Amino acid sequence: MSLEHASHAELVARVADRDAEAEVCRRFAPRIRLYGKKHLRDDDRASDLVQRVLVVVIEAMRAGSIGEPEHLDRFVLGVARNTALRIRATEARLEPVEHAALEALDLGAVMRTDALDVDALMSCVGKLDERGRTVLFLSFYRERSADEIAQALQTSPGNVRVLRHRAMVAVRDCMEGAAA
Amino acid sequence: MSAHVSDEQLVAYWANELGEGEVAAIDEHVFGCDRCASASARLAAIADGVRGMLPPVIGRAELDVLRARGMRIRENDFQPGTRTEVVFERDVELLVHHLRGLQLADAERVDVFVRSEAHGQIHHEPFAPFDRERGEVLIACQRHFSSLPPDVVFDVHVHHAGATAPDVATYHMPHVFA
Repeated sequence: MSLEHASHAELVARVADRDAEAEVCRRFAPRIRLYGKKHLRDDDRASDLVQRVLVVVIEAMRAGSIGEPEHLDRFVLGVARNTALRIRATEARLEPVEHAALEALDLGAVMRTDALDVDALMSCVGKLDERGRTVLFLSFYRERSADEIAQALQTSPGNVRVLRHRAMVAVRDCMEGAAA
Repeated sequence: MSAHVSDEQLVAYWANELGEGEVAAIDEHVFGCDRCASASARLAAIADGVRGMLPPVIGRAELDVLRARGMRIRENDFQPGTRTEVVFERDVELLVHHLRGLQLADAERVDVFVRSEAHGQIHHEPFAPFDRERGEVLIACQRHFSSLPPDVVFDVHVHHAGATAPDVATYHMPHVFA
C-alpha cells in the first residue's frame, strides 16, 4: 500500500509499521541531505547526517515520543540541527551508523543521489554571457561575496545578485531542457 | 515563512549570502514543502557542479591535484610581450600555460582578461590566483575551449598596493586544436 500521500500524523500513528518508516525515510532523507550540504559543506558528512537523523526519528516513532505528529517535519529538522552541530564538532568523518533500527529498512534507494550531467552543465554554463559566467564562477568556485564581485566588475552588489540569479536560473532551465 | 521560497532567495541561500535568521527560516520551510525542497535541490546541484568545474585560471594547489589524478597535461612557459602559437595535441587532456615574467612580490590582486584579437573580450577573471614567489599565473586550457575564437590574448593586470593603475602584461597565444 502506497503511503506517498499519507500525512505526517498518519505516518507517525503507524507505530512499528515498516512501510510507514520507509516512507518517512524516503520523504526526509533528501531534505536532511540538503541540510547537511548547506551546513556541513561536505557530501560525506551530509550522508552521515542522513543516517544518524533517520535512526533518531525512527526510534522516536517506535517509542511514540513525537509530541506533535502533524509537525513531523519540524521534529526531523530539530534532530538534523542538533546532529549537524555534533558532526561539525568532530574533525574526522564519523563511521557509518550501524543500528538495528536501520537494518530492516532499505536505505539504499534513499541514500543514492543522481549524478549531475557534467557535460550538460559545461554546455549550459558555456551558453551564458561573459558576465553571467564570471559571476557564477566567482560566487560558487571562488566563493566571493556580492560586494567583492561588484567591486571587481565595477557594478553594484544588487546588480551582481541579479546577474547571479539570472545565470543560475538560465543554467537550470538549460539543463532541464537538455534532460527532457 | 509560509509563502514559497523564491529562486532569488534560494540562490542567495546557496551562495551563503543570507543571515542566520533567513537561513533558518528557509531551512524550516524547505523541510515542510515538497516544491521548495525540489527547487532548492536543483539549484544546489548546479552550485556543486560549478564548484567542480575547472576555471581558466588555476592555482598551484589545483595543478597538483590535476597532476595527482593522472591527467595528460602539457605545460608551457610564456613571457610577456611575446607571440607564440599553441597546439592542443590529440593525446593531451589539458594544457597548462605558465604566464611568467610578472612582478608579483607585492601584488594585492591579479585580474586576468582573455580576449580574441579580432572579436574582443571572452573572459574576465578578477581575484585570479597567482604564484607570488615564481611570478606567474597559471592558465588551464581545456579542450572544450576549442569552440572559442583561436586568436587568444591574455592580459594580466597586477594591482600593487598604493598604485593608481595596474601593471599589464600581455601574452599573444593563438591556439590550434589538433
